Amino acid sequence: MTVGEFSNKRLDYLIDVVSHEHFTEAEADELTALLSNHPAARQVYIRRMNLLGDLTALSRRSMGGPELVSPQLVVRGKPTAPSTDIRRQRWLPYALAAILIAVSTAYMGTLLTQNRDPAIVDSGLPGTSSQLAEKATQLDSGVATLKSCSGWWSGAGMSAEIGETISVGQWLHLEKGQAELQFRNGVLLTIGGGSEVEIESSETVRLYRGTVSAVVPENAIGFTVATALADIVDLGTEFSVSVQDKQLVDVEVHSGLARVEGNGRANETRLVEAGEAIRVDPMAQDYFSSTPRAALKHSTAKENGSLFIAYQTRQGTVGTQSYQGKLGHDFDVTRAIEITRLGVFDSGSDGLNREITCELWRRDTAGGADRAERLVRLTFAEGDPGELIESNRFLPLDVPLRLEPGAYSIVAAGYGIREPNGNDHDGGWQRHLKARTDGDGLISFVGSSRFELDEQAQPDGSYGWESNADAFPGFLDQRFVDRYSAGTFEFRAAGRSVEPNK
Amino acid sequence: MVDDSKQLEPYEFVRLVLATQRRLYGLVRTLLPNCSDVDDIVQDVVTLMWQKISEFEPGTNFSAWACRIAHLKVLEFRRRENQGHIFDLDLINSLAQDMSTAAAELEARSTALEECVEALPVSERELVLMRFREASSVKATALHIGRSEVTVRTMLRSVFTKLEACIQARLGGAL
Repeated sequence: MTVGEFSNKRLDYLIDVVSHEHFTEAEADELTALLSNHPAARQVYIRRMNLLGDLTALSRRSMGGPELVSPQLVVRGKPTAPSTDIRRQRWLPYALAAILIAVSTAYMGTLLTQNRDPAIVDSGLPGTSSQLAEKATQLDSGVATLKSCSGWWSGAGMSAEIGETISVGQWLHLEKGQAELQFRNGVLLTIGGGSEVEIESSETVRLYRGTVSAVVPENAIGFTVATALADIVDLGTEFSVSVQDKQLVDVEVHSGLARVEGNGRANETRLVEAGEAIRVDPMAQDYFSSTPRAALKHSTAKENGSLFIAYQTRQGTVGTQSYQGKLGHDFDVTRAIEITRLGVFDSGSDGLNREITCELWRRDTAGGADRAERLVRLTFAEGDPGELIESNRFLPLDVPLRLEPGAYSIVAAGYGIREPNGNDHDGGWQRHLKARTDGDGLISFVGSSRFELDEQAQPDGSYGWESNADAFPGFLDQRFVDRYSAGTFEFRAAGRSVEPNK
Repeated sequence: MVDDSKQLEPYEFVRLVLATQRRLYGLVRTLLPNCSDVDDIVQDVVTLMWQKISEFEPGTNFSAWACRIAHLKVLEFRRRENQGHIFDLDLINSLAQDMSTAAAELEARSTALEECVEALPVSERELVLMRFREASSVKATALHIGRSEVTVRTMLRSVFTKLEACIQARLGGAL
């Protein structure tokens, strides 16, 4: 470095360590000197720190927003999440609340009106799904899509949504269950529970632990599963790879041919044919050794009559919101199904502390909420009704309810302070605790969730939410097809006989 | 003497504060890069702004006024917490001045950033927003997702690089 110049790389490093609060006194002095002597360095630094400041502000907004200011400041006419969040946060809205409480009720009324400005009330990030898709395309490093997931991701940063584009550099950690990635080049990669993978490119996936199975079409020959000890290169095949404890690698070829390239102490290569299985063990005398097949292949076939649960929340998940009105998720039936049980979210999986209702509605996509028709309604009493599966309690219908192809919604109501629903808010804090199953395409998840906005003037002059037991929740929420942990159902493919719906 | 007829109405104040909060967080982070009390300081700034609302003339630059107050609050914080500061007073004042000069550019970058965050894969968006949640840290984030701090730092660095490239692309490489 000479006078008048500075190293951008070094500056990046210093900003990084300082902003993450891990730095030495010498590093702090170096950064101070750099910024004091170089206006250009200050410019870089200011941009970076403002980016962090913006992310801080976005993070606060995504957890709630101005509607948290006070219970009375329910935003009127605002087509977004009902929010009487039970979490207690120290944040700007409360400072604003202190200010607002100090002003007259006349001002309050004006505020309610003014808050209709979406720039103020929108606690989330702007943009419709199509706009998001467009933006995603513009920044495209995507190589695959998450086709299905019947298990649980480990957490934020290591998870994906069904239908989400998976990008190069993305890490995925599936703790339990099974997930399928459909690559754009046609490769279908099935990830088993306990697996951790990194998408290195459209042709290479790195497996750190766990098991993956790949079905590789002819045009994608060369697709590689990389591990610490060996790279498994497809030569037109279907194969599974498992990284065990101590980094042992098991490879099993189900059809076709694969090449296993050692990259540890041995650089040898081994061709593996259909029906063969080998183990890569750096401690063994032979780096590669034949091993009995271990049935690593993941089965994705579903038997006729298999039961599926449409919306699930992981066991032990605690709700986030005390909203008492109706909360719904939309879905379309593509092939006739039978609903066998309805379910409701049980916050903490510890029994219901409020009576919760669950309803199934047929939506009229043209006629709006007024023309929706309720098909069935079940009441879940306080206590431990029905069977608990993960975080949902299920009660059977008297007889299975047949749904022909069409538009439907599952709706639940009755949550509150002692039994909160699981609203993800716009930040999606609990996305990795939710899962959906479409029954191999029997249904599809649509929309952006819905809620009931029935604003009623209270005797004290404030406004609140009041549920209408007979109404369909007509207000659309934002961002997620399954924003709430609330109602769900169990279903299966229907037989051929056509029964009346009721 | 203040002309009451020109005083900002509360709802307008709230609207302007919400529109300015990104600048406030940015300013405090810039001047106090290792401060773990950013939320407290921003909250104090807003409270002080409300107390001094009569000094603001509607129609003038609210953001600039807010940043001046935030600058003062940062200096007060430095005096009160008389240790652990990275920057000396001269550098803090220089940075505040540079930020004031670059206000329009920073605003454009903020707008672009929102779109870029939207375009991130959900998991990366969750990760980066989780890192900046109230009272969060790299360590807390690492614990939450079951990864090492080094890994989280690497992942965050990758997301920041992606966001910076996206901002540059959206602003046409002008900045």
